[in-house]
Amino acid sequence: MSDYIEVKKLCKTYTVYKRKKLRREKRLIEAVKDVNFNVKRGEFLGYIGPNGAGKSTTIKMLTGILTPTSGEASVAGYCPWKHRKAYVRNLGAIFGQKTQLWWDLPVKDSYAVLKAMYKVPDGKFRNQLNYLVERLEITEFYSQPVRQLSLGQRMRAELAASLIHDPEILFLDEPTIGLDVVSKHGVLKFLRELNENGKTIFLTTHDLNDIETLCKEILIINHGKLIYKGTLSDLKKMAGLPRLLKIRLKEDSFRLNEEQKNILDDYSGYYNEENREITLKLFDSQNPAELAKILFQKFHIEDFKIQEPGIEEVVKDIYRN
Amino acid sequence: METFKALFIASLKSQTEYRFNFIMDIILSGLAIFSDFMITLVILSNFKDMAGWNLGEIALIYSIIEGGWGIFRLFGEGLHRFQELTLSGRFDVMLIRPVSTVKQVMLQKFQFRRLGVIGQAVGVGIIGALYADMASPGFFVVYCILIVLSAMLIFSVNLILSAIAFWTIRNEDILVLASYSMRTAAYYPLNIYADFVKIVLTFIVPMATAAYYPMSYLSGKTDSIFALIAPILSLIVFMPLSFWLWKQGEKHYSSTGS
Repeated sequence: MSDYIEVKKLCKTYTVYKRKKLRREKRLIEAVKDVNFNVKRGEFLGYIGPNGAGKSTTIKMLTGILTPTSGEASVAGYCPWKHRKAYVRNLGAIFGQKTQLWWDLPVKDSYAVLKAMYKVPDGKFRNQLNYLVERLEITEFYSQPVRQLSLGQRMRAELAASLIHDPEILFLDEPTIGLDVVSKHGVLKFLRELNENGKTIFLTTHDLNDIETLCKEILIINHGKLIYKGTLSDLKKMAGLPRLLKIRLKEDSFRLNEEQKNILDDYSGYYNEENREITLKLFDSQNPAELAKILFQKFHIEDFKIQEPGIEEVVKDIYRN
Repeated sequence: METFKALFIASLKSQTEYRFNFIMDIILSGLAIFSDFMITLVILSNFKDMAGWNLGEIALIYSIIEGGWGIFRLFGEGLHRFQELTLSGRFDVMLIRPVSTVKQVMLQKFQFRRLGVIGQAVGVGIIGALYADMASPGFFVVYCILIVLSAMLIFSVNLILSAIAFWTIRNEDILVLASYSMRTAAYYPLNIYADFVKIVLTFIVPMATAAYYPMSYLSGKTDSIFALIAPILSLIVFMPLSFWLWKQGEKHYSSTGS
């Protein structure tokens, strides 16, 4: 059987005009270049890339909003931009910046309108609504117009709106943007629950910690090109970034002598005098215990820790290369 | 239809939240448009007729155009403000719903205050019909049909103008030029204009076919049955054209950055 999402040679080119002295000039911008990937049903996929890398353009093509310049895609057997109306019945989407609720309508009326649009049967609608309202704690603002909601409330209302017709696949573009720690935790927990119940989720976010907590599989795009597809742990291994060894010196001995400086050079470390903090790179070939022994002999150490490279560092490293 | 009902009820509820406000809105919006017509009326009353059309007949032309406009704005406020959707990228959201985008844009919000516009248009129409000595049950049936056809024609024209925003993102200026000015021009008998304007109002922005032609048949100025069915003829051409153009535009839609 073929995969749930299949993307083949997907390209999207925008035409922009740039004003020159006498006449304007036509310029083509390749937002997405020859992107290929497959996603299995039930996956929780993280899609990351810097601003302007082509993330949103890809998502918009996969949700049927944009028609690509060339290439093919199929999601659950549909081509998103060709079979738009049939396809979107089974799709839920959130675009963090844009509301899909009706600004002037109370939250509950918005759901009634969506029920009608998706032709959700009464019984199914009642069950789904009860589940969502309870699970996302919507009761407190259920009858308020959308424009009066706080950002956190609105995002919960949006999530419920995208799930009222119980779609199989969810496209989430920055669903945690602007949320405080507590609301964010709630949203992430809910998303994981959805995935465990079998929904396929396609998530883009700037917050790499979200990705780290939720996604097993990730895609990385930069300059319109797909540069990585695989698991997060493989990515970390592949990047081969060193662990970092950080030590803070005691207050009375923050000036380094020659011998200490030499040690720093040997281990390609650097010293931040303001924080009295030394950072050394710890490659796999080195024995941390040996190194620690030397350090404790030569330095007056107040604090000592070893840091695993986070996804932030890994991704930063990838963008650079 | 289900969607229509749900949105209609929801809109009605949110707009009647402040009842006094709601009713004042309807009355004021009717009066505002009516005051435009009053100015014309005052000027006309010095002449008694205009290019062979008496005051009552002109009132009927005005009323058919304005009634259609009122109906269009009652349901089609979203289409009228379509540029806001393309500029903000909110049109994205409509593309992920299993309902035609035209319907969704139209039904974004019902503007119940346009009931005032429809009310004053029908008022002017009834007075006009009495003044022109045309009032009869049969006439009013035709009159109602003409208003509905006029609304459909105005919808078609506006759908075309809105579709332009898929390419240009903004369509404000062309909307003012082609929709507002042509509508105002169509308030008056076509034969007062130069040939160029006659051609534009008949074939390009065919607002004259909504009221002027059928009225010239009904008031006995021409015997051609084509004049009476002119709005149907232009709808046959413009309705499919407008939907086709919209479809093309939808494919061309380029959204906005996030």
